Amino acid sequence: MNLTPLPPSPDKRGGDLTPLPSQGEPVLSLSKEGWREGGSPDAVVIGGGLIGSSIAFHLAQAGVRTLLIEQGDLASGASGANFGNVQVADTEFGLSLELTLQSYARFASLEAELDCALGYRRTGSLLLIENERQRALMKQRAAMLQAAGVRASLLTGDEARKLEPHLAPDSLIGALYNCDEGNLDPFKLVHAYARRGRERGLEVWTHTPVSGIEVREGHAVGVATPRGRVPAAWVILAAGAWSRELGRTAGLALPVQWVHGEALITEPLPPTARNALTSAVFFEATETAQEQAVGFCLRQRPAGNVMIGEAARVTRRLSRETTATALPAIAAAARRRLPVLRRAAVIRAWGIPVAFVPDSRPLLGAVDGVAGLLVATGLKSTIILTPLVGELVAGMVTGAAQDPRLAEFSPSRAMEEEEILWHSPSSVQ
Amino acid sequence: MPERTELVVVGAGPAGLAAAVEAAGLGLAVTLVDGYPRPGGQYFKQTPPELADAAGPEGHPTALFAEVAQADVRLVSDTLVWGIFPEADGFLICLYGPPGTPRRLLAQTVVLAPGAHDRPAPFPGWTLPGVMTAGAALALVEHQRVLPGRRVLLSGTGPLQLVLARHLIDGGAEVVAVLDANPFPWTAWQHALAAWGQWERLGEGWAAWRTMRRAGTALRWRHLVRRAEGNEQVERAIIGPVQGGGAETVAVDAICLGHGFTPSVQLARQAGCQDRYDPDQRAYVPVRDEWLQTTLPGLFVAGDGAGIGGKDVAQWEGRLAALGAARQLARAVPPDRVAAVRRELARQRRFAAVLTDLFPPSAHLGSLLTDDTVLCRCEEITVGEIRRTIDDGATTLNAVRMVTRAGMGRCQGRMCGGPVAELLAREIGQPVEAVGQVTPRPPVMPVPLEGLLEEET
Repeated sequence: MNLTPLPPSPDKRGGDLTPLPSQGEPVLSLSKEGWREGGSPDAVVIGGGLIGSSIAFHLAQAGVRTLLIEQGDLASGASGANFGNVQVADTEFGLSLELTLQSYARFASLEAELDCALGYRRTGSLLLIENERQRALMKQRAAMLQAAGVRASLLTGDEARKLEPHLAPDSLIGALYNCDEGNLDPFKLVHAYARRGRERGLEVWTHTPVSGIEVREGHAVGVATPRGRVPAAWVILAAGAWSRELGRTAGLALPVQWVHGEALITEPLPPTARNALTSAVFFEATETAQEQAVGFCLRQRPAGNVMIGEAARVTRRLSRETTATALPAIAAAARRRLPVLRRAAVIRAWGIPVAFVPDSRPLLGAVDGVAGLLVATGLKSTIILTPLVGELVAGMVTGAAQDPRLAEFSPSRAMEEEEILWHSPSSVQ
Repeated sequence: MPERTELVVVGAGPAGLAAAVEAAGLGLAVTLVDGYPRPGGQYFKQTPPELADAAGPEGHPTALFAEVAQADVRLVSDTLVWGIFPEADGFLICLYGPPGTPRRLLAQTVVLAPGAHDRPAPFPGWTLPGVMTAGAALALVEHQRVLPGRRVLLSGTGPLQLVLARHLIDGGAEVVAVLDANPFPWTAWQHALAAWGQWERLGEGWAAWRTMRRAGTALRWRHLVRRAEGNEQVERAIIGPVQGGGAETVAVDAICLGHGFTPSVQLARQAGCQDRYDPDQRAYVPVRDEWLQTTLPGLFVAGDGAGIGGKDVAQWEGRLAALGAARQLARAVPPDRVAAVRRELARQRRFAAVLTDLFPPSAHLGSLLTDDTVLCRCEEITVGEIRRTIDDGATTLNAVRMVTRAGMGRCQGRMCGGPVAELLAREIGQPVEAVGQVTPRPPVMPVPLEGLLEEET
């Protein structure tokens, strides 16, 4: 792939690590070693998922005294409920694609960098085309990906079935193929960042729901938790769907929305699909925002279990429920495309809110009016962007040069929130 | 649209059969769903017809079979209930069974009678072929007329081991020894009053005792099997006292583990019932009111699935839950019947409490585990792998599970959930309630992909 490094930016943001004076006595006792003697961190990262753990690791690596706070277990939200796909082909074009390709280049050496097994392997991916409208969209997408140096190609139905012989002949008329896409174990990635971060002084609090971000005179000054107030000069919000409510505590109306996505997994099966399979229907925006939309994505784990998604609906409820309607819908979608799965034993299903932003671009960077508060959420292809976004956000704290074009991801950008489209290409990656 | 019914009873063991009979007697429209081809559950398991000749007398007779046959109960056999979803107008019950079985029922009330499964008792070598649970061995001997081995060692606790020993000896096996992890029940005489009238079970125990005496089988208290060894299958067992030294090796070709039972709470949890940890049972049990109703109004749990009490407690609980369901449906419930059922249930519970008291689940099993002992059989996860996750900071069962995948296999943690939670709690010095439980997910039992569909196609 041809990767152009981002030009350095003259616009310097951050660099000031002096904690701001905070009001009220901090009720905090961190452990007694290392930076913790100072009593409070420089940066608090909210959200122990992929993005939060990567940011926390990169901050710790840069020598910033960092506390990562997670409401449940690490990777217990959407980061642990996805298929682990390191996917390029579904990205938005423009800066998103550029960053995606930059971040992708790191995966080849990520296991060595973190000195942890992540289960990373390149498998390839197929976006399955079922109608002419999808074919036109995928053709356009293939051309743009190729122009960016991605080895993507448009296949006929027969060509796709040579790669994945279990696909039913009448289930597709073509596919967008990318041989470079990969897969890893997302739990391992999150835990690797946390482990390597801890070695560099990162403090991690799990089972600690942040109840609010504290703002004084236009500055973020810390967070409130059940374990007490934590003063910090920097607060980084990376809580996925939960970011909306947390943003509200800082007086922000973040345009974070989410779908409730559901998926299921079978017992280990003989080789069934090598590539990640995703229906191109995800790219056809529909107006049925409140309805349950059923797409299709499938990934076979190295151990043989087949994960199948997904049924999803836009909702304002944060829940982990599995519903009586989603499971038969997923089963029907899977059986139609891969009849070989008809008798496969399903052993578990799950549901999780997955954040998205109505204009399909992430919320990434500083917030107008609240100094010291950074937001990093709503990424469309979270896993592939995880290493790069961690480094970018750490750079925003340490005052590293920033690409001015990142302004297009400003969490404060104007957006029509009403236009909630059914639009979730990567709710289960 | 799913079929509607007033009451769905899940499970046709003692609790479910009694609930169905009682409810039908009160005029309720009852559907009884059971996972086996023939009703009976584990206590009243019926020998499959194709084996009935070889097996001689057909399983355990119970008057409940005739009563259920005569009552106006719709029996749906050989059918799994894989999920229960509370909806505005009742409980949506998701089923998977043979062709022609409904896939969905909408029930105004539900009595869950799921029973229990053998308490898993991991120790080094327990995954070797030839090591099995006492429950599995009993089913083999009683219904298939197959011996688990020629030289069989029993290790566990409680009277079920004696019953199994008797069946094995009668079947021609040599029972090398019966090890009970608990001390000899010296205090049993204090419970004479509670045992008064339990002649059938006392007689069963006495007969087992006599058979063992005749065969010269040793019954050793405060002992358990510490390790099993062998190449292709178990060849030796290392046995010893629960605490302290003095181990010896015995040649065996089968080991049966009878450490009691643990309630099957998966369906109640998946439906959304609250539960609590019961330290006496060393298990989570659903929270219930005096009608055996859970925290979901209209959903009841009866029998071993709410805490191990045995078949008699189960039957009376089934009847009480049926009365509770009728009351929930605003039917007339005869007060004297309620009083009689409650009285009999109280009597049966007193005896059940004696057994729980005399033969509690052994607390010493955890000390046997070595780093290479497999805890999660489905995903083949060892104690060592779990300990590494704990060293990395995991403090909850969910965290251990996500990182190691223990409990993510076919059984969804039914087997390993308890032992992993106990290991984790021990290692971090917390009570087992503090490490939490795995989030309950449908399907609660493996179901073919097609079986999830609302209609057969």
